[in-house]
Amino acid sequence: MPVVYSFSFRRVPIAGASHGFRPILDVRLRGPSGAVLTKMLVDSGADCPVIAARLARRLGLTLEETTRGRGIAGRVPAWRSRMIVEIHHHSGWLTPIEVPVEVPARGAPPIDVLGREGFFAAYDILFRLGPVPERGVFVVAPHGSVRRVFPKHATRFGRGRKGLAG
Amino acid sequence: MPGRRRPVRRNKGDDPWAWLSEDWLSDADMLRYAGKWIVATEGEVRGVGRTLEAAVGRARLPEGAEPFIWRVPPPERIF
Repeated sequence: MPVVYSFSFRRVPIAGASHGFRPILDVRLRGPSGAVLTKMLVDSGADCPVIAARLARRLGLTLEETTRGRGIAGRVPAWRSRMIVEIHHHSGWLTPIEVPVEVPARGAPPIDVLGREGFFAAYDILFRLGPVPERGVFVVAPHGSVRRVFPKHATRFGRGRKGLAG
Repeated sequence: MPGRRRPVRRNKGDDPWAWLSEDWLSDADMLRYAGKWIVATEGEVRGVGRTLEAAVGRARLPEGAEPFIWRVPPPERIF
């Protein structure tokens, strides 16, 4: 199994712009009532994962505390709960993680989002869209994986100075 | 005689969720179902509705099925 998982940006139709490219993951969400497969947008700007109330009820999440959330459209009351998230990669399912989730009490988000809390604690995320979005990838690396060690500039320069001195 | 090398890539036939990695939901589907809930299994949309309950009811899922459920986002920019 790889230690770094790369995903293509999902091409989505957008009125007036023909297409957009979004970092969308296929996930399995688990709650007390069972599991569902769905798609979620990786949103580094969202504090917390957010799902629609209907989906939360389907999962049987306990919606207790009410918090005041704030979206781009303004303030909305939201319930808070916890759920299990598994990410699907073409090589298999990643290790399940438990994340907090907020559920808007009114309306529904345009798309369910994987925000930072919980998700970014478990994974490092790297977006590499580039000038040709079709070739862009975003990378998800579990924190426990071996990190790539970049060469230190100081070592290279130090070797050069030594050469000059010698 | 050297042994035959096994393919490094996993056989997709072993993975019942392999269809998730494919573009099984076309642009036309996404526009047709925009703003609605869809319920799918094995890469096929089984039920569509304005509410999740209606979509699940139409899908007539077999006992124990793990459905794909998604409210297809509207074809607009998300800010």
